[in-house]
Amino acid sequence: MRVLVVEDEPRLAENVARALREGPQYAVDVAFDAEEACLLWETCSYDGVVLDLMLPSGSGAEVLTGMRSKGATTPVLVLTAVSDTRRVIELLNLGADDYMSKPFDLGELIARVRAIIRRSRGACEPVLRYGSLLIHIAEHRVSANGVRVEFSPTEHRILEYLMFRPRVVVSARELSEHLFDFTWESHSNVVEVHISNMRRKLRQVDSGTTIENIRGCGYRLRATAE
Amino acid sequence: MSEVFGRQRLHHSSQRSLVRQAVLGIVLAELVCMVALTCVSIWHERRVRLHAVDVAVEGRADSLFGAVQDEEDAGAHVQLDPREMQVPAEDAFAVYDLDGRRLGTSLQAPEPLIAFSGQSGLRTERWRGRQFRVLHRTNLRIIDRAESSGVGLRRPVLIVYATPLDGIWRDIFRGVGFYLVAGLLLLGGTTIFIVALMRRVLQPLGKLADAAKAVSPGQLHFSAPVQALQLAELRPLGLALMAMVTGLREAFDREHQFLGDAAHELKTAVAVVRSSLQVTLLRPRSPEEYRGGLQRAVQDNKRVEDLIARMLLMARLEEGVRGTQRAADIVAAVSTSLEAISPFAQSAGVQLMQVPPCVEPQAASPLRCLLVPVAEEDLGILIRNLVNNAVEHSGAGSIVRVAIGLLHQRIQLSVTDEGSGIPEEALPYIFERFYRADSSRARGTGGVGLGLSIARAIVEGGGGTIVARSRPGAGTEMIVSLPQAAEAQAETH
Repeated sequence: MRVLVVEDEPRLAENVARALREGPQYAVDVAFDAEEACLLWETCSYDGVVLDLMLPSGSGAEVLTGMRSKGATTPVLVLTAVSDTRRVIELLNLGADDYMSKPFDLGELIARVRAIIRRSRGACEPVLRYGSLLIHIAEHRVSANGVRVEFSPTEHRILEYLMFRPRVVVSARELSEHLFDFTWESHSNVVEVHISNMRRKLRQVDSGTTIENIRGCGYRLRATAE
Repeated sequence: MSEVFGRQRLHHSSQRSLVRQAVLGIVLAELVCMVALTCVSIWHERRVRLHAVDVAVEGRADSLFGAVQDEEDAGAHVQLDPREMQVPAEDAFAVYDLDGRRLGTSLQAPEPLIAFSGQSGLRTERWRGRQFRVLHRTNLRIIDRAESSGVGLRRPVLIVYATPLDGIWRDIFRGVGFYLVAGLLLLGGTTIFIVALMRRVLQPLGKLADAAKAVSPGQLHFSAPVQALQLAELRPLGLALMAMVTGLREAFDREHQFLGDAAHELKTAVAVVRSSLQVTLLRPRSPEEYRGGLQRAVQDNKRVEDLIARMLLMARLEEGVRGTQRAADIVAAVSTSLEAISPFAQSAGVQLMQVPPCVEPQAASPLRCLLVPVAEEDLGILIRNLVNNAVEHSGAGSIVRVAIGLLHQRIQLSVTDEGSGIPEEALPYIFERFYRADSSRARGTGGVGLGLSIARAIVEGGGGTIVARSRPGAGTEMIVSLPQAAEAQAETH
């Protein structure tokens, strides 16, 4: 998952980004003002946005309405210094999915970001299932037929992304767009390597599930029994 | 509560009413006029009536004399018959010769009224509670004209004629009574009219008061009713109220904005500290990583302290609370401040340059000491803020110039940088609290957006002005103009 953090206070942005990278192991990009935020949001595919309201060169609310009017469906968690109910209602009506008022707890922020992303993907449970495969999003735990499968953080992220959309072909480009932020030196080869490792691990535990490589299109999570 | 209401009610009852005062005044004036008019008309009527009585009395005296003249008997006695003379029955008269011998009287003539007197003329006399108009007149009676070959004997006689004045006052009051009644009716009519008129006239004032009543701290909106604005007398009041409420609202809004901004800054600063600590605790780390995390948290906490200190300073400056309102030497303050900032400037690769003081040609002595009416501590903060700001916005290798001058008896301090400058649209707002002309970069250097507001508050506290001139891309010049401190002026004069 790739998340955009829009926050003008550099230290706070850094801490939030770090927490999202270290906790749920998301790819995180940071924008320091409204202009930068719009630019990044328009050009990259994000799975979630953490948006501060008071920004230089335009408010967060403007960014939100602007992006929503352009058809962006990305879930948005708004950070605000005002905990005024009226303002919160206004924000939710503008298209925010959740809000937190400053100062906030980073653990709670991680949980809320995770929740809005999960909901936006149509999943209610914090556990994703496909065939005999089971993934605990919050606990970073994957099991097949009740046997734990050890995945590296990046592999875990790839699997999580695919588990949200089983049986759907996901291109290597989409995968790298959603899984790596600008701090990563990424190209499709990296994904390829990770996927072949994952295939091997899935085969080892006899999960009955594999990641298909559809040449020229991308990857697909599929049960081998089908 | 009830005590307060009671006092208010008492206050209310002791209020004076404009309508009551005006109506009372007008009615009183009318009443005085009416009384004066009545008195004058009574006096006039009495004079006219009295004159009429006098003419009548003279006429009757004449006809009496005629009757006496016609009397054939020139002797001692004159026979007078009132019925023949056609005079009112209640009139009394007597005829005397000049020696006081009575020649004849009317029937039942009251003796005191017709008593003989040497003086002729008209007078008013009182008898038994009644007033009489009494005429004494001497006539020349010519008798026995036939006997003395037409010349006749000349016998002067004194005629006393008295007529009662009973009816005169009745007539006067009847005449004046009409005016009196008409006046009273008019008075009543005008009172009602004036009360109605005053109510009507004061209606816009009531409307204005109602509109003003609706203004409250939470509802700082006021528009004067059109009725009030159409009146020349109420228009200034209405406009003044509108201007006042607008000014108040703006002041409230500014305070509200400041509070909101301050809360945002504080919450953000606290959020930074908290997030730094939480990030450190997010997962097990090495002792070095923990140390680094704690050091970051300490740095972040330092920013919270700075922010609070600056906000408190701002509040102190805006309240005008100055510990020691003394004069300080700006020349020394600039030297000290530049010394303090130079390490920071060096690390930023910016050269600080103190421009030699420019002085008015007529100033005799070189500038060794220039006192401004600002406390020494505040003066230091002012200069450091301006120079720091200039250094922060300057690129490496550029120069920040600080100059002091004396121009038109005012002390000028200018700080010029060769930085990126301030966009024209931002220039009017740079002295606003928490305003940042550029984006997050200012925060990166530790600014909280209060430096220039603090500078302005210090300058204005000293009775001076601060302006910024800027050309984007070329640099910014901050110009402070301060009056000389009173003691410095005393020294130079």
